[in-house]
Amino acid sequence: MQLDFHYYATAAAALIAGYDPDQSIKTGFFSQMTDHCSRTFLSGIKAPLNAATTQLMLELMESGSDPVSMQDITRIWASFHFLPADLKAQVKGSILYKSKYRLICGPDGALAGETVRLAKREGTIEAAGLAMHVLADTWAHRYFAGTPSLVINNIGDDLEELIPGEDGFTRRPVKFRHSLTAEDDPENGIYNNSLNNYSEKSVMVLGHGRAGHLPDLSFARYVYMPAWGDYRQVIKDNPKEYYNAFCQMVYALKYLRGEVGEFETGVYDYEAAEPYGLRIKEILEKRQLDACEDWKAFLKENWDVVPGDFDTRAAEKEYTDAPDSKKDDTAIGRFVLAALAQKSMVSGSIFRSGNLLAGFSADPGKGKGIKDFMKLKDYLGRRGTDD
Amino acid sequence: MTNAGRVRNILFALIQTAAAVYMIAEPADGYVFVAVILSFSLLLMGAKTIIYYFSMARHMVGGKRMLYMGVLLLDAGAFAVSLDSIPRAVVLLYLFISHAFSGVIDVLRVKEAKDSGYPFSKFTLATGIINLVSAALCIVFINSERTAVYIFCAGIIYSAITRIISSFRETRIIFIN
Amino acid sequence: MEDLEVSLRRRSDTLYVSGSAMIIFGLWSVIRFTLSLTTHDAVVTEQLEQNYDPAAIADKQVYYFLVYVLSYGLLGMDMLLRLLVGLGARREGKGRKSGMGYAVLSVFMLLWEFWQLLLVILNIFEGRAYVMDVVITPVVQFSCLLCAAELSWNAVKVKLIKRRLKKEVRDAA
Repeated sequence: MQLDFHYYATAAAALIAGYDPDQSIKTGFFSQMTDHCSRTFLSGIKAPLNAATTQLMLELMESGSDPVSMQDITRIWASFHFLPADLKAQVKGSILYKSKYRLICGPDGALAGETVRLAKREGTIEAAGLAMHVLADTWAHRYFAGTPSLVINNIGDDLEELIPGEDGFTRRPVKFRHSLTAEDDPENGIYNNSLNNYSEKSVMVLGHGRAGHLPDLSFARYVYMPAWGDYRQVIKDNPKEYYNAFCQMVYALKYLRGEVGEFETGVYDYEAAEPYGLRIKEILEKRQLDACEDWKAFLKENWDVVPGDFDTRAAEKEYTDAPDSKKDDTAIGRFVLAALAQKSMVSGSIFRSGNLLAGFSADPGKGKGIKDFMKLKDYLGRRGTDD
Repeated sequence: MTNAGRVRNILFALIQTAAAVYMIAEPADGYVFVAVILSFSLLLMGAKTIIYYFSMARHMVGGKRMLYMGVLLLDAGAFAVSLDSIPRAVVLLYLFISHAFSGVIDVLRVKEAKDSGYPFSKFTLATGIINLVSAALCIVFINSERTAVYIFCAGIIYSAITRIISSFRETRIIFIN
Repeated sequence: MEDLEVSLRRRSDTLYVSGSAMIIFGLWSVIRFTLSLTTHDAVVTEQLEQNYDPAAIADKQVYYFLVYVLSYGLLGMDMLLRLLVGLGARREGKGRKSGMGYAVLSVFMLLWEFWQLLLVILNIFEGRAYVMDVVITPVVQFSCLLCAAELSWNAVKVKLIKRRLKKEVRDAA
């Protein structure tokens, strides 16, 4: 998903869930921060690099294809953007193939539930924002895996867009090109995607690169054959899935606020979203590459809330100005802790399921610790939890 | 990387450098060595691709392409190995394609980072330019056996240097729950 | 009906890939033959000059010239057949209109590849093969046979499935 949904739509979901405007904007802000918090960003403010929740294209290009680099990429992308739906999915194939297949992202998996419950235990707005990002992406990025893999993430050249018309939908083949600078052209069905160099470990086949931005465009409906699908076609109806994501966020945020007792996957608060449903669906269905203005107008119309543009400078300054002993109490400090906890939870779950694609996981205190994660261990100790 | 891994990496890099220096000093022997390495590397690529097909790609839509690609590479490698001598032009063409491709990719990466407003790696830019210059030299000096040897050895020495650099980079392999 | 559609997609893709592979293998044969000529040509000429008198060399060179012409002629015919079969298979694989001509010709390709495989095996048993010929050539030749077999088989199956699907759509209407 893009900034328009992660920032503004998440803020709207928070408002519907009963958060006040300031909290709602912060929730949206830290949801979007998940797409911003790279090692480059963190090293600029001297924050722990292991809390990176994304990787810039340059960082990806410079990482190697050795197992350690692959594990590093998988930990980040599987934890924050392509949360695995079923770590025990059954499929025929070699151990390596099964491991990759089991990282396929999808909504309502066990890890999605754990993500929200973890944010509840964290208890901060920053953790809530991060959890909403992860939750929303399980809908947009479903059918792709957060690890470089040709055999999972490749798509055929027969992807067709379903264009709504008066008599239903018409199929229009999508033309892909590999331009680095040209914009997508939805009017003519021309989109950018990554080049296929037929390499299993290439970053070109990480996540939904082969489908370009289509999964992140709320208006897109398309049908294609995923590489893992044994020639079965899947239909991706983004307007419907994004609306489900929105209603699930409302429900999750109510749980985080304490209004709902337990969080269950597969539950979406359609009722709460219903008064705004028509307008939301209108925004989602509009064929535009950037829906920020529409979402801003939506927030203004309904709550008279006008969030500023996404700008991290104030948060960065707060973090860099704080003394070392107080950095964890800043907004970015809390986000860092939430990111470490999320990454730890997901990577540990992947490891415990017998899958080594995210590398080895160890409990703190056993053997040499990593400085960044000692911070998490200390924080959990201060919070008084046996996680 | 473990300390044992670092030592292994550095030793391998030293062997690579020694081999490159020998080939530069004895270009006639060096050329034969280059041809043999290229032949076996084609053979190996073919075998790896076929193994990849049977272990992974046969489950993938369109995966059979990998089988045929592997067979083709295997045949090309076997053919190259069986030749008494490989025409100079073929070796230089192979080096040209390999360096040109790497060079273009590096320059495009840097351009993308620059266009997106991100900091770009001067090292990657330098590598890209060096690769493109090497590719150009392959064509300009296509009649010289020494060109093939010098360009190939430059690639080996570069690989040895990056191997040594990466040996001293911090890597995290254990994750903390 | 969904299973039929899945099967159609799978077989169409196999047709497309087999057709492409058939053409590329043919091109590679031409390239390989040309490369082997350029590397062996100098050796052949040297041997001719060492072992034969000048008058006989002229005859031998005419002889070798005729051999080259015949070889390229045969390769050319092989390439033409491959193009007809391969392009037809690719067209059918992409869902465009294609007759059964390519499927009929593909049977000839299948028999040809089978014959080639037999020759390779014979070479091995008669001790005429190099190390690479014992290990790799059979693998390569078997793959060519597999490609031709898959192409022929799926050419027929795709037509049958399309006919069945048309019938089912008609019946449903």
